This record gives sequence, C-alpha cells and structure tokens, in this order.
Amino acid sequence: MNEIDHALPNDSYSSTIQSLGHLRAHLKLVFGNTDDLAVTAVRVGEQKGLLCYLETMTNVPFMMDNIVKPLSHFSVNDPNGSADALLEEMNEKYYGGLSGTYIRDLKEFTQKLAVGQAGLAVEGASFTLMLDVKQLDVRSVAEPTTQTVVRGPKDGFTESADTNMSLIRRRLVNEKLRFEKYTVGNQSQTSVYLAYIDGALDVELLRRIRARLQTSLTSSVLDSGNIEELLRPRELSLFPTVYNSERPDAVCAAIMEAKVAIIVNGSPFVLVVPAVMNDFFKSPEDHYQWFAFGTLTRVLRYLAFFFSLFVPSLYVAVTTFHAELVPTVLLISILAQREGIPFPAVIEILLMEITFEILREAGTRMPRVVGPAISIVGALVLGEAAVQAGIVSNINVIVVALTAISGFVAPIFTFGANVRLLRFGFIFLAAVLGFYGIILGSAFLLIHLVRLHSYGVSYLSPFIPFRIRAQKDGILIFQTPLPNDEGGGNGSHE
Amino acid sequence: MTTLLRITPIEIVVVLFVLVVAYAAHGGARTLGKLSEAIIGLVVLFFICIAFLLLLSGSLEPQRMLPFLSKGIMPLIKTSFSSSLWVPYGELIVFLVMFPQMGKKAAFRKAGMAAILSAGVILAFSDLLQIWSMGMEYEKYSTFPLLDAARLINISDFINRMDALVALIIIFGVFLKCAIFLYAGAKGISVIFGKPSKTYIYPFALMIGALSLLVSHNFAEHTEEGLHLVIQYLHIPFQLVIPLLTAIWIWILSKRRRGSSE
Repeated sequence: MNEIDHALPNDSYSSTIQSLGHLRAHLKLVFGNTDDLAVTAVRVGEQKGLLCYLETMTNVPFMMDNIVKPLSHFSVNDPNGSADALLEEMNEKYYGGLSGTYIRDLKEFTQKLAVGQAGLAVEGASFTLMLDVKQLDVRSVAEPTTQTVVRGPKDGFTESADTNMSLIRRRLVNEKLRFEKYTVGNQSQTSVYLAYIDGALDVELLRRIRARLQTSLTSSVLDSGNIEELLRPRELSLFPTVYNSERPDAVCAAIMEAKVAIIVNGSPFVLVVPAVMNDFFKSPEDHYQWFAFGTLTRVLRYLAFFFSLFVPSLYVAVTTFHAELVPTVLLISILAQREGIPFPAVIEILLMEITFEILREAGTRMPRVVGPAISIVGALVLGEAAVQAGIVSNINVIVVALTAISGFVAPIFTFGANVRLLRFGFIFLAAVLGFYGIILGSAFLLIHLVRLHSYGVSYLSPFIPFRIRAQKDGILIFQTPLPNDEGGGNGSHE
Repeated sequence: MTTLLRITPIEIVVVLFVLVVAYAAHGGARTLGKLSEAIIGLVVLFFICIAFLLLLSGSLEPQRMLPFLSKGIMPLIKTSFSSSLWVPYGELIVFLVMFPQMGKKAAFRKAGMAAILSAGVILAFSDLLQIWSMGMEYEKYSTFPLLDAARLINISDFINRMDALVALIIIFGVFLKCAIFLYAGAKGISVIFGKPSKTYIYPFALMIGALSLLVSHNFAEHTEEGLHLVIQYLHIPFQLVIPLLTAIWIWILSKRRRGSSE
C-alpha cells in the first residue's frame, strides 16, 4: 500500500492518468472511504492492471463472467506492443458487447464509475477502458396511478429513464426519433433526455430548451418537477406551461405533434413542451372512444373548470350583493336555509372550502391504512353535523361539493391544483365587489392568459388566435375521414 | 357602477378597473389583438344567446320596425353626420397608431375594411334586436336600450334577468376600447419624449381614472359631454381636421421631395 504515499497530486481533478498508483491515489481522494468502491488488481496479459467499479451500481456476477474470465485466458499477440495497443486489442476481441470507451481524463473516469461503468486500467497505458456493466433494480412497468383511463393502454412510465425511452421507442417505430442526453444538477448529475422527431420540429424551440438545460444552476434534480421549474416562462403565472404525463401514449402523441418530451431519470412523469391550456383538458382516451363521446367529455371538462373557478364566488356575490338576479323561488329557498346561519356567505364558503382543502391534503398524505377514518370524519362529521348544528347551510355544502368534484376533473393534476388558488381569489373579489369584482377578475385572468406563452405558442391556442384547422382537436373532436375505398374499381357492392 | 355597489367608494371601483385596463395595454399590440379576438367571440356568443332567448320568449316582432324610412333617406344621412360618423366610426383613427405594426399598406387596408364591416354588422344587429323587441320610441328614450331589451327575456319564470349578459358586453367593450386608447396614447407620448411607451401605461391609467371622476358627476352630465361637447370640440378637430391637414402636409412634402430628387 505504499503506492498511495508516493503521489497525492494537487491537480488530480483535472489530470490525465499517469500510473496505476496515481489512479489508486486519485480514487482514494475522490471516493474517500466509501464501502462500495471495488478496486481489484488483475493481470492483462503480462501487464499489471486495475479493475475499478462501484458494487452498488454494477452487475458483479455478469462482470466476473464477461470481463474477468476473458482476462485469464487472454494471450498476447504481440508481447512487445504498447499497453495502449493491449487495451485496444482486449476491447475489440472480448468486450464487443459492452460498449467500451477509452478515457484519458481522470475526472471523466470517476464520473463514469459513478454511473455504473467498470474501468479497466493497465500499467503504462495512456488511457483506461470503460465498460458498461450497469445494473439497477427498477420498478417494473405498472399501470399509471394519476392518469387512469377506462379504455387504452395500461402501461405507465417508471423511475428508470431507460425503461421510459424504450416505452416511447416501441410505440413510435420511427427512425427519426431522437433521444438527446443532458446532465443537469451540479450535485445529483441527473441524466435528462430530450425526445423528439427530427425534422418535424421547430429548431428555435429545441435551441431554447437546450439552452435552459445547459445553463441551469440547479444543484439537484430529484423529480421532473425540478426540470419543469427550469423550463417555465419568465412571466409569473399560476398556469402550468409544461405538460407532464405518466402515460407513454400521451407523450408519444405529443412527440408526433412536433413537441419535445423531456425524460428525467428518477421520475415517472415525463414532461412535454410547449403546452397550451387545451392540452390540460385532453385525455388520450378521448381519441380511443367514439368521437362524439370524446367531445362530450371534453366539453364536460371545460364546464367543470368554469364551475370550480366561479361557482363559489358567484354564490357569494349573489347572496351578498345581487339577490335580485336569482329566480324568486330559488331565492326564497336559499334564504330560508341561510336564515339561522350566523356567518356571512363569504365566511361560510371559506370555512367549508378550507375544510375541504385540509381533507384533501390529509387524504393525499396519510398512510393508506388509516384511509377510512378520513371519509368518516369528512363526510359525516363535517358535512352532516355542520349543517345540523346550523353553522353552514345545505346550499353551501352543495356549492363546495360541486366545486370540489369539478376541481378533480382536470386530467392533469397540476392544472386543477393551480386553479384552486385562483378560486380563493375570486371568492375574495366577489365578497368585496360582488359581480363587478368577478368580472374584473375574469378580465384580468383573460388578459393574463392571452399574454402567456409556452415557448412561442400562444397559451389559449387554438382558440385565440383562432385557427379553424386546429379546431378538430380543440373542444370538439372530429372524425378522421375514411379513404374512399368504395367508389373506385367495381363500384359499390350489392 | 354605483347602482350596483351602493356603499363601495367609487374611487376603488375606478382604480381597479383602470389597473386591469393598464395590464392589457401593457402587453402591447399583440396582446390587444388577441384580447379583442377573445372579446369579440364572447360578444357574438352573448348576442346570439340574447337573440335566441328573446325569440323563445316571444318578444321579437319585426313589424315594430315599421314605418321604415317614412321621411326618406335625409334624416338618416343627417344623423350619420351629426353623431354616428364621429362616435363609433371616427374613433377608428386611433388604429393609425398601430399602422407600423400591421405590416404593409395592403394588410392594413384589408384588416381595416374587415373591422369596419364586422363592427357595422354587429351594431346593426344590436339595433335591430332593440327595435324588434321594444319599438322605436322606447329605444329612443332609454339610456341602455339593449339592457332593457334583455330584461324582456323570460322563459317559464326561470331564465330571466339576462341583462347581466348585456352588462358583460358593455363592460368588455368599454374595457377593450379603454385599453386601445391607452396604448395609443402611451405610444404617442413615447414618440414625443423618446422613452419606451410601456413606462407611461400605468401612470396614464391612474390619471385617466382620476380624470374620469373629475370630468362628470353623474350619468346625465356624462352623456351630455360625451355626445355633444366632445363631438364638437374634440372629435371634429382630432378625427377630421388635424389628420386631414397632416395628410395634406405629408402629401405636399413627399411631392416636393420627389420633385427635388428628379
């Protein structure tokens, strides 16, 4: 072990490989006393060699069979050849399938070790041979948990970027499909892949995404949510401009529409840019069903969006300021219920809305085993008892329930989550300014949406600016015309 | 607005409105264009709704339009020149500010013609709705005739009070008009003082809000000023005289320049 002593170079981070002792010292310096680093002495022909790998990232039995075994019955063609030639010969003869690369830089060497490659160094060689023997335990492909469909493919992305890329590749059998690799995060060194179809894409879009990824200052990327932060527009907005999906079919559809998918290693949510508002109202299932039913569900989603945004604030405005707008019979019924309620409408609504938000958050975070407790407390105690105790009115519970259910209709969860925040803003405006406040708020929202862009695409497209050709996948879904197979040839059949 | 919000101070109502208007104008010509596309969609939708509901509640009677042109075409021409020409159509002069952003002369002409024609169609449609539902006399003396027309909607005692839709049309229309004028004013000032027009948007908006409170104290004063004083002292000089003189001046300058270069 006296080899360590003789060289602890200061500049070892940027230096190239000099000798095996130097390499050992460098590994010691970079990896410290980590337990899973294996540095094994081997013999390559007549030369001394070192095999280095991380046990936790590599398939060790596979490595023994395919790297160490060939070493033992390796006979040198030219005993006087250089160590460099020796390594090259070794690689070409035995390690063909391990995608070997030659590395001179020590920093690159340690980086490759960290991602699960094995490094083979030979005394006197000016480079090392890196061999891909990576093996990681990955979750198997399972049904997506957030974007479920009744009819349609049931496979979902997993945390492994390799699996995810293969899920995309096997759906889009297209030689123009490209996967471009980037490393983001100073600390985590996460692999991020851009997936797109070459040629169909706007070059400017690709340039901007690349620039954002390359110039990022993030220290760690633990989920695609971190990357979404990097890709957001400069203007502050509650609306997401990056689409995310757990479904390979949704991502493939987006890639075919000349968008860019971003696969982040470690996250089952694949991002897509550019994303406009209408994308968040689409479910892949819309196209797997009869077109009219798809249209109906899409109209329903927009309706639910407006419900979840406006129903509580309209209730507040009407009961506080504009009772004359309600048909008389309904007004009497509402007022009769509110007779014994001690709070003004806005407090009543806020009370129940906040209760619901707490219930929802509790439902998301609690351990699965205590699930039933939430539904009992939520439905029975808070709903039933609050009404019977005369704290809130029945109509209020209906309003809040309608809003809550409508808020969950959005196929992409992040969209619905952001709309909830806006809802509170509208309730506040309605309480202070009534209808006028709601109109002002909507005007503000409309201007904001009109000003918003996602990578040069107007956020409200295809509705604003109105493009008649794009309407076939807007709110309405049109049927694709069939090729004319009956008119030609022998004419129609009897 | 004070009839809608009885105790809210008018200043708050006005300030919030102009701030939202300024937010729209701050987005520039592209935002205003897309915003007007959204608003025209809403307005047309609301108009169709109102027409359909009026039809269903049996309030539309086309014979209320009669007698049609009983005194010949002269009264029509007279009103056109005394008011209609100046108030909706003359205000189109503001779009000259956006001329540099509209591309070539042909594109501007095409968009301008389309805008005038579609605006004319919508205004005519609105007038027809008012006359068919209430008759000429009522329409003449009502302050917001379309609002009164929409009040006639009543379908099985449930769908009524549709005047909220009309209020929306009016508010959104005024909103867009304010935003465009504000944008144009800021552009003009930026030419004089040489700073980017966006710096003037918010201060101007607040100033407009303050002036709107000072200029008129009630609706009667507002209509008297808007329909008589403004046409005489502001619209005729700014919409006709100054642009005409400028055009003549530019024409003479360009002629002389061409003459000197030959």
